[in-house]
Amino acid sequence: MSDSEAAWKALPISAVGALYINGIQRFVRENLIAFFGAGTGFAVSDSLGWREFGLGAGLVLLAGLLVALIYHRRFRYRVDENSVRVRKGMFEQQELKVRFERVQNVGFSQPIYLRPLGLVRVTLETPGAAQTEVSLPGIASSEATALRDLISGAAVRQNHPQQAPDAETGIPDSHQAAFSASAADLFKYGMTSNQIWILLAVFGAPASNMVESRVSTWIDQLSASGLVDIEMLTSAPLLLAVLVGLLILSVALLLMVLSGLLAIVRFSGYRLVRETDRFKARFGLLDVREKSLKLSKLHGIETVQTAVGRLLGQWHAVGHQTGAVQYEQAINSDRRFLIPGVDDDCLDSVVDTLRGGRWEAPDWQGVHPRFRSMLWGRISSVFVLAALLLWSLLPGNVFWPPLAVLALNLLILGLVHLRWRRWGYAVDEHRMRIRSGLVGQKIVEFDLARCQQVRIDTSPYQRRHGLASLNIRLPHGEQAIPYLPQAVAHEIANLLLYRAESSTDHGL
Amino acid sequence: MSQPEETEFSNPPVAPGDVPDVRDVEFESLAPAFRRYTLISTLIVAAPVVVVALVVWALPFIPLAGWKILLMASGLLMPLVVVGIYRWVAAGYRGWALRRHDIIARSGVLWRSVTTLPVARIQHVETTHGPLERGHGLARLKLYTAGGLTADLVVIGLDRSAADQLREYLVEQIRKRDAEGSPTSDE
Repeated sequence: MSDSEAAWKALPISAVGALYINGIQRFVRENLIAFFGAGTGFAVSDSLGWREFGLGAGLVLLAGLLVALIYHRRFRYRVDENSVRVRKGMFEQQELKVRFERVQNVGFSQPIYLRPLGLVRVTLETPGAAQTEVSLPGIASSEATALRDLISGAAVRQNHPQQAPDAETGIPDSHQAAFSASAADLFKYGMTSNQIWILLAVFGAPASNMVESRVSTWIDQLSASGLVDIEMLTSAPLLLAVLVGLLILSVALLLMVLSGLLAIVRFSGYRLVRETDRFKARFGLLDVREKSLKLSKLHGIETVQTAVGRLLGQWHAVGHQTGAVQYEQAINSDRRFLIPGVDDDCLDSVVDTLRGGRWEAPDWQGVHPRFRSMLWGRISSVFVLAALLLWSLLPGNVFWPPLAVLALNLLILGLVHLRWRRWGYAVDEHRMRIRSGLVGQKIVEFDLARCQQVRIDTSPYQRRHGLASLNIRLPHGEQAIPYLPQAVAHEIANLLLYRAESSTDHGL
Repeated sequence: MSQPEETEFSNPPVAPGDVPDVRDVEFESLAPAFRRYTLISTLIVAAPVVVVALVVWALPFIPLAGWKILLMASGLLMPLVVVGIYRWVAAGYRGWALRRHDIIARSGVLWRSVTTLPVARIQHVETTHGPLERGHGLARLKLYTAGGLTADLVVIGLDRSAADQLREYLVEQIRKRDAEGSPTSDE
């Protein structure tokens, strides 16, 4: 192919708007805390009024437009036979090239403001770091689908020219959704997912200030109105505790509902489809997204049930690709291939779809009871010592502080027991799954040949009792099984290595 | 996960006894200079503490008795001495082994670990040596796999020539593997 400049294409001019909005969004998101600070500053300060605020915001918006225009002017891309190249950069020119075989996931995203323009944002994810991934911030949707098919088609042509659709697995290869999530499922997913904590972290601090001032004025008003006698409340600690408990509970419920609604907006109309050589997931209300993950790039299946999810029989699944775990666990990371809102009944079929067939997993094997007794012993000795110290050091030999410490100890022992009971693994000749968790649970399933590194750790205590911990490094991160009998740990390690080394598939 | 490759090559089940055992491996010990290297590197870390203590001791206007300064300095040095002794002992437990399909490293005195990395999973290989290591003719071998941000396995205290040989050998293995594999499976 000629390296003529003609092959380099610019983004359509309508994409400037998309770049602009995207840039502003990112600017706000990355400087969220600064914005909160500025907001509070304006609210508090007398000399700075709305006029100054508007002026500042206007300047930022204008600068953003300028940046978007320059970005658009400098951005060029070209699609070659087996690679995509992108040139960009405000001041220094950067050129990225991604070969199609390297792409593990093609992501489409169509926010609501791109829809009338018929544009799609395309992201090509590779096993490398986040900054090396190529993204085309707005190209025509027909061009985007063509690119996607070219990318997955390239792999098929080169790798398995004669591969037929998966007939023997009985899984619909196209058109029909392997899994779709209803709004109720998604709402339940949102309620049970851990994104509540993220919400709490983002809105918690500024909200708590507001709530505090609000609540104190309420209390003043209430006591002034004479409806509730504050004096009485302070003299009845039990009632106060119940009230505070109710308050916490209602805040938690509110957050859960909020989180559920967010999940509906984010994942609305979720559909998972398995095609000949890729998985496709489509979802989103305001921002319609589509992800297509190549079958051969899926390295592990993680199914998660949170503590709340257990009450509702709710799971979610993650298809793991190669990549550092830190990206996958980043807040609202778009890099993960997430399947939300899977309930107990669908779980098996979803996992079968991801796996590409049934797997009669052997029974769960637990870890050695010494895992529990060792932790029990160590934690208890620390707590008993602390209780004794408290008892002897506090004046007047009061009973309740040491007793409280011991009660806490008992609680932790219970948690240790739960943790121990949850640890488990099941392994046969080719596949393995590992379960961990406390009240909720997480199950990671993978092909033995995918293992990248095996480590066997032994502490002096473990050696005395013939035990060892097994650590398995997979392309997406590390999995551990603590406290196995040494013989078992070595047997699994040997099998893992044997499978990894005799596999012809080095690809990632 | 479907692995289309599985239809193309046979992979008969193996009896547990036929799988090679990591425990049968004879480990190579590290280069003899490594012990001295650990000692000197610990001393270099300790040196600033000693110098500061001596300076403070020599200064006339510090209102502390000489023995108190010595006590404080030795309190700071004690952990370093322990670390030095531990590293000296641990150097004897470290070892590495190369099998046909993987490389194994062993470390730790009390908390021991044995790490095995299949050669088929190595993405790139690197040898590095700092000035002190260079002075002792030592080098370390860093092995990277996909997905990680840092080296997945670092074998320290190798003889320079041994490290270079190992690197060349592994690079050759990777090259052969990539040539054998289909063009799509190079990374």
